Amino acid sequence: MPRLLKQPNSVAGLTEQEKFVLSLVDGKTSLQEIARVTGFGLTSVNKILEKLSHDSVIEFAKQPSSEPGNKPEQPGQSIQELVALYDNADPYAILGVPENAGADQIKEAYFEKTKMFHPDSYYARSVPAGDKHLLETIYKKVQGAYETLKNSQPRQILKGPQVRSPEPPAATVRQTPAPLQPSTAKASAQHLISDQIKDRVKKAAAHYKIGMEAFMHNDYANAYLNLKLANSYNPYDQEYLHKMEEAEQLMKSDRYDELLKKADISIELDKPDDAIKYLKTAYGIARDKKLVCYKLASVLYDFNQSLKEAKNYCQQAIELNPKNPDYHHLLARIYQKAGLPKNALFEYEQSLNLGMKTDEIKIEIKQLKSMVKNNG
Amino acid sequence: MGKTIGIDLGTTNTCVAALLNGKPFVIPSSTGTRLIPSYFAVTNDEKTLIGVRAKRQSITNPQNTIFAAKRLIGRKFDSKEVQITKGKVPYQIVEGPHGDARVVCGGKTMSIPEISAFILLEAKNVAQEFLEDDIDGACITVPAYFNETQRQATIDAAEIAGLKVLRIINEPTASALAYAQKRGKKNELIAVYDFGGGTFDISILEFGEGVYEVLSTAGNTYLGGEDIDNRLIRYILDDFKKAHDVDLMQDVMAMQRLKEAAERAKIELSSQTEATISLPFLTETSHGSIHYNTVIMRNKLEELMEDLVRQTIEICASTLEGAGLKKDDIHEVILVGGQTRAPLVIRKTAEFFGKQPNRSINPDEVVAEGASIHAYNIVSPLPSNILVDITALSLGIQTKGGMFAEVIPRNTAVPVTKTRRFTTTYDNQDAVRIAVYQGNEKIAQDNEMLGEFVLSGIRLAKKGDPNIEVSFDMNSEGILRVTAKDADMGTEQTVTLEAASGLSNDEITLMKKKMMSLELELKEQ
Ligand SMILES: Nc1ncnc2c1ncn2[C@@H]1O[C@H](COP(=O)(O)OP(=O)(O)OP(=O)(O)O)[C@@H](O)[C@H]1O
Ligand SMILES: [Mg+2]
Repeated sequence: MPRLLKQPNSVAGLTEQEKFVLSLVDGKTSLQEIARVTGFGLTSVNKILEKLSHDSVIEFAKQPSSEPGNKPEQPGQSIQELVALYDNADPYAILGVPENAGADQIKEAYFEKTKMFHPDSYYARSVPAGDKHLLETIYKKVQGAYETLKNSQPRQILKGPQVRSPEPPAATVRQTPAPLQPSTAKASAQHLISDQIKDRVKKAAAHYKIGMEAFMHNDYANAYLNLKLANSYNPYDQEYLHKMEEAEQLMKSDRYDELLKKADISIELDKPDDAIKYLKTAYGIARDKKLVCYKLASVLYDFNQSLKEAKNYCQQAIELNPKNPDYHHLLARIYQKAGLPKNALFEYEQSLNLGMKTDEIKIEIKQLKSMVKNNG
Repeated sequence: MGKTIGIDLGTTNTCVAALLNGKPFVIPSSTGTRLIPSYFAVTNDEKTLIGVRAKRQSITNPQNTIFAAKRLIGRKFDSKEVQITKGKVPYQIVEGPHGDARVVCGGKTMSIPEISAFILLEAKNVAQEFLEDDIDGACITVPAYFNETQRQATIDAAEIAGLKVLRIINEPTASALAYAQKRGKKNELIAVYDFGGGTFDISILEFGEGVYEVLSTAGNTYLGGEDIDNRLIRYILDDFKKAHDVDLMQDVMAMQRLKEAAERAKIELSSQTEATISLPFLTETSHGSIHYNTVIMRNKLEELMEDLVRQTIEICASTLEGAGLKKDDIHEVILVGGQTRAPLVIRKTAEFFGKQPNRSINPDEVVAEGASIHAYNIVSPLPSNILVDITALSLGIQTKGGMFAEVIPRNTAVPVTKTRRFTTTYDNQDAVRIAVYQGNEKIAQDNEMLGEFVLSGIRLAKKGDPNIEVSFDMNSEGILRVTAKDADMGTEQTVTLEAASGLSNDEITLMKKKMMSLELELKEQ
């Protein structure tokens, strides 16, 4: 039975997996249970626990108890066996408490088991559906055991705050609605409204602050959302608006870069559909569209997609920058493939004139010239 | 991966929230408003309108403006509730092919989940537009007192809107989650008093370390702010009749204007002691137009609504008793829902619980906030808090004399499996009918019937001898499986009861397609 030696959040440098496993270590939860609940499998959990134990974050301890999970562990114990352990146990054993346990102890044990077996706790984990179902049956057992034991005990309330936390005086005033006199009614309504405005201004400022912080850390997406919220709470502050617009631009250029990168990878992986999807999204947010137009045209051409679309994008790129010989060269090849030699010839000549003086182009031009002449 | 959201699909208003910086926030629409009126309309030129746009034209187009659809969702046409609503709304309610209530709008009959789907779609679009991201799933709230049929109809609505439902959670529970988040970690027992536009709910929760346990919940799905509006409307109608001898009920447009004015006056009376109602050209008579002007005092309103508020307090009292608690055990009382802004409600709750209620949270937004917290929590691999919710309605079967025998009593934590033994009523009985009902009434028929089946091949014996085990299994998705078994013979019969929402799968698919084709048109408005 693994047991904690250190406060889990005081341990730095853990992987997500390790953190996850560690979060379940409480001296009561068995290896099998951890493996099942995390969905990592017994071997990985074992490895992680060994590492943690090596780093003296946890230790392995055996403690005799009536808890089903504490039965001697056999390697490879299946979840069915785990269910069987709970199936055949009495309510005390299910919750892992002694028979003389008090209400507090029972409740505490119940909360612990709930955190482990309640369906919400592994909703998003990669536990197989069948196992989720079995874990749910265990939860039902836990719930049943708790109901039985709870009802055999006088009800006890968790120790709540003995001293009531003081309310802010302003709120208390509003909470005691003394009958208002007509003369003050208007004033009070105004008071209410100005309170609401104050609240919005405060919220706006809070989001602005968080937004600017994200801004400093180059997390423009987060900055943008916060600044947008600040704006929606307080649309009158020009500063909020400007910063929001700035963040929006930066976020978009961040996203643009990322999309181009993803498109390049997709091309490399021979996935033209993905590449086109990324490029089209990038096209939507790009401020300077010529590069993305050219890339789109290339992908469409290289992977034998719609030539018409390729032509349109390439023409758009040329419109935006008529001086780039690469753009004309691509357009020439598109025309050639589409069976339009005259147009192709014109575009090859353009790229030649713009400085692309390769032998290849010269030969193409020669061939096309004779072809155009022959066809009359 | 996209984002998750929480949606409070209310009777009068719908609110959508998401998590940012670890905290929930309500998502504003492009016009900056944070509440979407739960209104749907079709105009004369066949345009579909949702939310504010639909509400704005409700006075001039009352017959084709659907509101308060939540009062009808998952209900049978001939149920008492639908018949009551029929008398209160200007649009037409008709019977659907599965006995469900439907509405007529723009000359077409529409199912209620379809109407709700439009509102959910609007909520989704507001979120998508603001977050500039896809919406992967939503946690949608319903009153704790919704039965399985109403819950399923809500899930259907989401399906039609193309929205993945992560979980359906109870409104008061969601409020409690949002409150807990604001208060930080602390063990306490709280009561959530939720008085909205159409429903009243009360829930008692215990906050423990990492676990929130709902202890008890109760409510009335037919008690809300609109009932208070109706009291005021009735008072004005009487007043009008006395003064002008005209029955305004016949004038749909006048009634719609009156409804708006009454609600406005009611809201004003929460912060002022008197409110003026001024409705020029309210109606035409053979003697010319009648202008209506009056002043309503807060005292008058409170007199009209007093017994409705008392009903809520009575429910609070029985809930506490049912949970074996005393008023003093409650550490904090939280007021939720627009109607809790009324001074009378604040006064009465303070009086009953013996302490000032907590009003530090925004009553209009807290439910959606809580739902967004739950949505976020559930898709994270390490949820920070586990919510143990309960069934507010008992589940059971019909027994001798038409009585209802509980198998899963109300206020039981879900998911759950429970078994109860039954026996035969006459000698050599070889088959029994298992009729499954949900509700808190003693007579089975007064509850909602979820389905039925027959267990045959029972051991022939004297009456009362055979052991018939009936077990109910409610899973985390809210699906109920009922198994009946002759314990001696081993014969067994199981049915999975998927609550029938009033729509077949084919219908849902069809509506979904229709919705998708409408989506573009809606976005262009
Ligand atoms: N200041 C106010 N004073 C009194 N009543 C108010 C005030 N503001 C709103 N209301 C009332 O609150 C009700 C709407 O509340 P809310 O938005 O919480 O309901 P809902 O969530 O749409 O409905 P439900 O929760 O019942 O489905 C309406 O009846 C409205 O008239
Ligand atoms: Mg509500």
